[in-house]
Amino acid sequence: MSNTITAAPVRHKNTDTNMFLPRMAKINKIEVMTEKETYYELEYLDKSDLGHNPGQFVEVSIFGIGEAPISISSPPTVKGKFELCIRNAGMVTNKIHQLKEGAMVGIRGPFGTGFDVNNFKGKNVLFVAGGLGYAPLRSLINYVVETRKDYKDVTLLYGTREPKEILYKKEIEALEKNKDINFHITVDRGAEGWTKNVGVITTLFPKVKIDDPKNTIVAVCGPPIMYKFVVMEVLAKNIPAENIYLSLERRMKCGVGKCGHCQINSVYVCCEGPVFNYAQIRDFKEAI
Amino acid sequence: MHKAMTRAEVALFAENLVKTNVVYGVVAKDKQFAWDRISDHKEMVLDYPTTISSPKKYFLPPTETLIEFKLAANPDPKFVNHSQEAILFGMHACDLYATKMLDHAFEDTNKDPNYLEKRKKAILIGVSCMPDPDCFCNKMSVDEEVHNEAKISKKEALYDIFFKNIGHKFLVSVGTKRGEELLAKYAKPAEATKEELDQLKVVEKKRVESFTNDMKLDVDQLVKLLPKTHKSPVWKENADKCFACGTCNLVCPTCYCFNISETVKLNLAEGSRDRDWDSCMLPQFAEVAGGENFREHVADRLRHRLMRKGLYIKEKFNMSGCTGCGRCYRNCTADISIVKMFNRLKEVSENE
Amino acid sequence: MSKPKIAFFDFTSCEGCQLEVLNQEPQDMIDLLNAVEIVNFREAISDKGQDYDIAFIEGSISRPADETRIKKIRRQAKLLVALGACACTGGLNAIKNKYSAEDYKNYVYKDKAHYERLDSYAARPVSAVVKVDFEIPGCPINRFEFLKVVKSLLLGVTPQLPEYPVCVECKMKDNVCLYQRGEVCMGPVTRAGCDAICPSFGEACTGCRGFVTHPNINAQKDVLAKHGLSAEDVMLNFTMFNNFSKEDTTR
Repeated sequence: MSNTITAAPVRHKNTDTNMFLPRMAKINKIEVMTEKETYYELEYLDKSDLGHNPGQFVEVSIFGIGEAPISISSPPTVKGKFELCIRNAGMVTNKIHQLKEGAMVGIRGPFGTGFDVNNFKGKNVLFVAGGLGYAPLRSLINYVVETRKDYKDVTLLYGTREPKEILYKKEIEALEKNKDINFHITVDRGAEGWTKNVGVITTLFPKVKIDDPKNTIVAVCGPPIMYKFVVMEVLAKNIPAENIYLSLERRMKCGVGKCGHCQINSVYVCCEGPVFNYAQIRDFKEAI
Repeated sequence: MHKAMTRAEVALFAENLVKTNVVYGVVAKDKQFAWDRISDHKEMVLDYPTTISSPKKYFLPPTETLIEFKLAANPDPKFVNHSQEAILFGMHACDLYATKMLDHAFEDTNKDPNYLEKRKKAILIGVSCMPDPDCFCNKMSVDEEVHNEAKISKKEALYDIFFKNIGHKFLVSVGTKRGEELLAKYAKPAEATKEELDQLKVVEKKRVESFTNDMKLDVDQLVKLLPKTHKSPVWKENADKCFACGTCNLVCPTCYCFNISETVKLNLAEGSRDRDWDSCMLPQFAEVAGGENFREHVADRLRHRLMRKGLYIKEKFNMSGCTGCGRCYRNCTADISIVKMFNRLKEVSENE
Repeated sequence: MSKPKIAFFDFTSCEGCQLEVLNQEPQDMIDLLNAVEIVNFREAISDKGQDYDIAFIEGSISRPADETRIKKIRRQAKLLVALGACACTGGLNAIKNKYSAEDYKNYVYKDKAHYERLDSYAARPVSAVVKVDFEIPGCPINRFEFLKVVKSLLLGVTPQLPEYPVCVECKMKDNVCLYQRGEVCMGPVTRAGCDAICPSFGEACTGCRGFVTHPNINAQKDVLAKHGLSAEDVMLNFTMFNNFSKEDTTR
């Protein structure tokens, strides 16, 4: 299997197609994951690859209602189809949740700059996922799991508010059993039968042992409130700012760097992000 | 370099243009002026202080359809582009400069077909002006970029044709081949005489001396100052009286942010996706679906707006994000002045 | 899908909002009638059906008898939409709430003030009496906004009112600002959606659509005062369409 991923930022350039014109894709498979989050497998009508990098997103169209930016949760190694994990959080996503298998939606993208995967090779990798933040990271996590030998220690921290909010339960169970991954999970509030850690995600950090901080890459995605605290923990482990990647959520409306809604200081998240190197945005007052 | 045309000749030129072309120009509206489609050249004015909104509304209309679709199992979305050949007659230096800045914004990384098609098919005809007390384009490098012939000869002019008012006549500067052809087709201007060129120098000197604004910073000084002002108390000071109504953004010739919305026909069979003017001063601009608002306070939004005007756009496109046209202040119900805000940021920063 | 049945009911009002509903372009009216079935609309049709899905209510609630009637409508309707200023805020009717019954009756009805049928209590918005699912503000409503709301309901999405003030619509239309003509206007704090119809015809906005979500009331007061309005006039500007307060329901 070819796993070549370009390290350079992939920007969606429309030379012969219109950047506002969605392409139609069919929903192949739907799986309800939690009360609010549902898994979708889609494919373009011509079965062409989405051609994305882990960390990129697409704009999903429900015609007559609007578009919503959704991060791609399948690794690029999955060919001819792609997967999204969609939270019912607004008018568009609410309509998506009413769709049945076989329905068509519009897709624009992939947009933005994803994770610089080549920079992860040969290093320790630490994933920190909070809530729905697992979905964008999953693209990268599954890729790293598939190419496990290319990395040193791989650690995954995953936190949700409650046990019932855990996404991709079967995959999470498999990761827990995977001897090659240091896996730690937590919930803010426990529930009956929950025997694992209770507390916010930063309470998992004492369990993380970083041998070679300079050679450790961190990828973080979660709710806005999480970043500041996670970054503090990571820096406290002497991991340099350049090694920390954050995937940020903003209101990406056009997806192509024009409409301005996703702007953080001078950068357009939809083009230069949503994945940022912490060193790059450290001084941006509005970033985290 | 310069041709000369009498006022009557310019009027005839305008008349000829209007007869066979789609022409947009400035018309009187109440006691103010606005850009509009010209059907009778006599309605068009060349001597006007400023317009309410800028001519950006031609290239980036307040509402514009991007795609059309069906509300069916296969929506079959289709791209919509309403571009046409057109002439914009009577643009001031600030608006010419702003158009160039918008060209960068819509060409950068992903080309915006709707804007660029209209832009490509448009001929820009500028006209000189005298500053009013709120104009500060002289500090924003605009005046120089448009009027300095020596500078223009080294690169592409921001206009196709530019009319310079010297009183009894207009001296005409041709910026592009297209402008040259248009002028040759619809007018027979004489070469400017030495007296007329001397008169131009007098008028230009007078224009430069007529600026009475209090702007204490130029473009480069703004770029140095603004990164230090994120926590300045100045944002809050002005936020208290700001309505966050969006007017400043909407009348700004360089503001280009937009919202995307859907319109469905009442037959529920077809619809369109449109873009509408939007404003980073409006409360929901930076809100995400979950409800988190990344610029919740008016002060945050004022800061973002001024950072765009004085810093971000300069960093991105190496052009000033503010043209000094003064529209944001003139149209502000709360009387918030961008010049006073920049000056106050400087003052507070120096006293720290 | 069967067409949803809609009904119109009026309470204390001029019925101008219902007139706006009817004041559509012919094609729009045809499309509307193709999309919905109107079963009760006193101003337009004589048939009266009591089997409806969506009830549009014009007018404020001004008498105890109104309460009985609106509660009955609420029980029947799957969705209840308040139509216009009177139904949404109490509108102009609520101006009387600030005066004693004797005062306003004598002022308005003169020698007929003692007629029993003119008895009323403090005017209140529909939402003060029953649950309202959606409000279409304005005096009168904007007919295009009405169609927009109907379309949203047909598409099964919550209708959205603009979150920005009237100034935005004025700028999109290149209107001359009333303040620039030396007049005053409530546009900076008033919710848009009317296509700035009053300023577009040179008239000041009087705030009939209610305030935006985060109005800068202090700034508006300052601006009005700066333009020479007395404190009393400033208050009149604010309360013309926004007189109703919760305490009024006890009167």
